[in-house]
Amino acid sequence: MEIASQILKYIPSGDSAFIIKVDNEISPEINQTIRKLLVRIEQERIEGVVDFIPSYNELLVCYDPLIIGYRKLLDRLRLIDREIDSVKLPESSVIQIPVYYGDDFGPDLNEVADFNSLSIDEVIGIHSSTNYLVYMLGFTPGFCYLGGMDARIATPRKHSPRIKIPAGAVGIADKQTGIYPIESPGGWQLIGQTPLKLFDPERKPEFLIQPGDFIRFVPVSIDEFKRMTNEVREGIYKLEKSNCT
Amino acid sequence: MASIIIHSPGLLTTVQDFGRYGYQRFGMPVSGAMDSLSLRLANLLVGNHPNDACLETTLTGPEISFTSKGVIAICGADMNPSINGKTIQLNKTIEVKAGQTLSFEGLNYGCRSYIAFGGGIDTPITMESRSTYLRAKVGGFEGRALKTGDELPLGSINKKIKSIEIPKDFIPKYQSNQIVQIIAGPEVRSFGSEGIRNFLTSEYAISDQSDRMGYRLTGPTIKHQSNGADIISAGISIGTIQITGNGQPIILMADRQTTGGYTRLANLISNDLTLVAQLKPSDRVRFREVSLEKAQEQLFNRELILKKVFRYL
Repeated sequence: MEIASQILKYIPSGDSAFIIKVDNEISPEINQTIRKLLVRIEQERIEGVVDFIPSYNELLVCYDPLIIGYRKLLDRLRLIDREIDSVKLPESSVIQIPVYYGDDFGPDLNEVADFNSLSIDEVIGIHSSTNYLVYMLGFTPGFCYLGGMDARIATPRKHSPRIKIPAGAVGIADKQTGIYPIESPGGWQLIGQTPLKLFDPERKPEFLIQPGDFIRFVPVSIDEFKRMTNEVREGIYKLEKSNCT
Repeated sequence: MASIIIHSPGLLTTVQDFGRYGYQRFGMPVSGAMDSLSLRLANLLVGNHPNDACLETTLTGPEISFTSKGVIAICGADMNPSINGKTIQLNKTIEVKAGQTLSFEGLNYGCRSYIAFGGGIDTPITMESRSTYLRAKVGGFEGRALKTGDELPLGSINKKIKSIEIPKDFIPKYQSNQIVQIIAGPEVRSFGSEGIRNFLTSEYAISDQSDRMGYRLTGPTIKHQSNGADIISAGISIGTIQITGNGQPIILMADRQTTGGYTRLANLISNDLTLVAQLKPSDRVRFREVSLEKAQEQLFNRELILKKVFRYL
């Protein structure tokens, strides 16, 4: 990959965070550079660095200025960033997300099909036949920004947002698809529901998915959905993962 | 075991510490005290670790009784606290006896009081913090704001706490008109010179749409250049000032989302977070630009004074 370190831009975000910005666009390659930076900086265990927010094309590095001043931090980061091309990222997993599509669990599935002049089965088929790259998490705890949705099922948001969408709802908004990790209001077209809890503060790990993973939606029957819901509740559900090769 | 009982919760009272770090990459907000300086001072006054959990109250105070004797301290907003009807001082170690009641007569200045209890509030730790994140019902006391009848356990104290008071000149001046300092943000070039002039010379009012997530301000429009208000979603830090499509600022605070899609015009400096956290709806704020060096210097100097004060005490 040809992204060389000299095009990284360092921008202060106040006096306790730095933004490291790669380029002003969304692409899997740029996003991979961000993840490499994160891996490399974490290896360095810089005292005073307290948190990171990787996004599409930026890495926000939060630090405590009483422990490390910005000049010293900047010097250390610049030394490291020359080495990021050689960072080996852990192999990406494809995480299977079972979804029961339609009925009461996907009240807008018909609308998505009608809008795109497809049958319901075609919508489900298209939605569940892609590995979606998790570019980043944000918005609410555990919410994944996914790339790679097929334009054939793109559908505008609802005119008026719903007040309450349950955790696990799977939806489409314009060219994006996603899963609501916690109950929240929202305007997405809801097409299905996963029995999985993307976020559970009482579980280890609290989050099922991390930046750089891929997810794949797998259609399940209502019986499978009910069985999985019980398994998740009892903490015995086994997440299905495969390597992305 | 020592505990406190809530007889009336006040408008919004939550358990907070410095917040939940290390999970922002998963979209988990930091939360924690809006005014972390006041939280820290209150903890120091009762012999706690600076990061122990306290109660953060908002605009109106709670009524609380104690099941055993102990020490408390209140810092931040002045809501006229009293114990069994007798006025007590802010910024000072206060001894309390079993059965006594702490109440608040009404707001004098500021927006949020921090009540520290000797031993700290001993609610369960979730993801390395006791802070309450209301939107996802995480941490604090059952993940929610306190209600009448709640009983919260306190940690034990195994040392003698001497009564101390923070010198008046160390306490920031909490007023309803503040001038606060900012550093230019990553998208400062997305704005025209008139917009930036408006931002740096005008007064902005805190709207009543403000909460722990962010302060919405109203005032002269800060116009974007042709590129508009949207950016590729990216990380935001405490005190980031976003400008929405209608040209009005939002200051992102403790419960901020980890990422956002609006242009980031500026960032509040750490030293002035305490001032903003004590502003309430309809209060006013003006912004002054400062360099990153100066911002960190101010924080460093405050820390030196703080260390001196507490060593001296």
